[in-house]
Amino acid sequence: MTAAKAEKPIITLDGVTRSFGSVQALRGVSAEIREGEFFSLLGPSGCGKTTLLRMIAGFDEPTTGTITLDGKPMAGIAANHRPTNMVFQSYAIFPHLSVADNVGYGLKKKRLPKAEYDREVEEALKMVSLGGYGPRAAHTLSGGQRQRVAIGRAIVREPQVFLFDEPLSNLDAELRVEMRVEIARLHKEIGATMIYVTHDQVEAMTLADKIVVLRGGVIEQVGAPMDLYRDPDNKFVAGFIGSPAMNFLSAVVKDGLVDVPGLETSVDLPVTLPAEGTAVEIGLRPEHLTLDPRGTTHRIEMTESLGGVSYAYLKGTSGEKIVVEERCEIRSTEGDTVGLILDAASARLFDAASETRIR
Amino acid sequence: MAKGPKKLDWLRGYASIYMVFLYAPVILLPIFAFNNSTVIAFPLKGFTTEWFSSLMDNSALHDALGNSMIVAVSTAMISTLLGAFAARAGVRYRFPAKRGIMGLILLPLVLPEIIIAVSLLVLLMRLGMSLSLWTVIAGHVLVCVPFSIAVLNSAFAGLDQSLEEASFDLGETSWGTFKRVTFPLILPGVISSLLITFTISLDEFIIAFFLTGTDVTLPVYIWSQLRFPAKLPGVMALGTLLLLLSITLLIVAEFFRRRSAQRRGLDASTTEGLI
Repeated sequence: MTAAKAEKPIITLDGVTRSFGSVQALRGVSAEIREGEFFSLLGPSGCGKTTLLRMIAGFDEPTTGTITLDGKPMAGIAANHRPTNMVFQSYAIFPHLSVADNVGYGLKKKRLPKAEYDREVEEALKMVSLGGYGPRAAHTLSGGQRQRVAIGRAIVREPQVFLFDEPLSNLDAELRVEMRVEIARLHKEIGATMIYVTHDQVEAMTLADKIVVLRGGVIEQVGAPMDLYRDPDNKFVAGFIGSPAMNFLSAVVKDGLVDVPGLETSVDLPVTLPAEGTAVEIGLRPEHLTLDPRGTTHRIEMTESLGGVSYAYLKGTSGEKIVVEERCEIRSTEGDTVGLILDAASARLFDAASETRIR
Repeated sequence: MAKGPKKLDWLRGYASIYMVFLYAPVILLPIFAFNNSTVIAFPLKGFTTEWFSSLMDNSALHDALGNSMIVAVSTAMISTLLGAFAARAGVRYRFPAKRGIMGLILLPLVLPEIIIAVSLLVLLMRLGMSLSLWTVIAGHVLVCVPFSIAVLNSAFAGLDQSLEEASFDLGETSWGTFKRVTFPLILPGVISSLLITFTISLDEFIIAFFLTGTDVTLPVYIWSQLRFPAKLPGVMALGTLLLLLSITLLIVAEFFRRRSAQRRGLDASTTEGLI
């Protein structure tokens, strides 16, 4: 990706809101999507991510605010006149047409000579690894193959922006990984801007150049995947990104230190602490904690061994639960009593009331 | 379990009686249509095709048949078109008083036909309109639209909305989307609706009897013939032909329905159909 290309914003969202009756699905979303970027809209169900995607596609209009695509305001421009193409969650393959007719559907308007039309369709089919499938009836395909047809159908249109609406959510786990790699490869090959809606943070982390985390119709944070992971703005983003999720322990500011009753310790954190006595929460990722066999604060309730890595599920004397990652040779067993050693530099501190990050 | 065989016998008996009750009158039609006697009674006298050939040169019958075809074809097309609009609106959109409106549209299903016929006649008289085939068509459309909506409702409900959105997204216009996606996918429902409304209109008597002018439809013609016992075997022959026509229509409809279900990847035997 060249630097000049990445500088140009292709889609600008400015204060976009959408209300359905008294329900506010989006409450003022502003963002810039740059050309060639793989941009992911991530959030739990009901956060407004699909609503936003449908407004970019032209199936819906913002209640207030504007969407600008390639310098042109999109208000009043219907989906069939926008340089975007969508890959639907349900694939939306036309069941009465062949695979080739599905892929060539969007080409019919161009009135290409037959040879050229056939060539473009076959080329798109090859790109999605379905070369030679053209004459097959679309309804005979498996879920993964339908997904490929849906992507091929968008490819022939050569859209400026590809829109994906939770494209992998209807596939089984194995196919999902396969298609994820495939979509990443396509993005490299085509280089077009892609907007990808998902509730699965693993998909967003592995695919996206940039992630927007949405909750309740509001942007919680925008950034590169690892930036969100390392430097979350608030407790929601910190907890949503990463698997297993970040551990949160309640703490309080005392004598210029952060007192964590759950760990029976006080920590000196390199942040600007709020006033004495403020209730805070300390966030610790499973890989930033180490078990201390000499300690007695926690009991191991369960261990989950995945081979290269194990996760120990701990319960403290205060009742708070913690997940710890173990990678060393000697690992803990269920029923062990242990203590915890934390890496203060990688701990994140949040205000308990507002849930915003304290830096 | 011990009761099994006995229970089965009982059910078999019930089913047999039921079938006889249903189909005995229908089977009598062709039998008497070929019987060489003007009296409709056993024992049969002899074989003849005289009644069929008499149909060939009965111009009043031909006129009535022509009228019925005009009425039934017009009714089928108009009510299917109106039914498609209503079914789509009912399935796809939300609007105020939707349940009430849809309920009122479906009301003629349960309203006694004689009431509809009489009130339509009174209304038309008040408006000073003369009775013609068009008034019959109007009456038939009124009773056929609910059937059409019922059939097309399931066709539209089974249509994934994102298919139309996908077509639109791929650069097609609303009309193009209808032509290339919506219509092919609801076609089986449209054919069912056309056949059902055509059949209902073709054999409808009460409304046609009240609203017809000088041009009578086939059922009204048949009813008028019943007053003359000598004409009865001719009616039997006519009934036989109509029976054959209905069976052929149903077979054709089912054939198309299964083929279209197959093309859409559905199991034809498990999907709802005419048969």
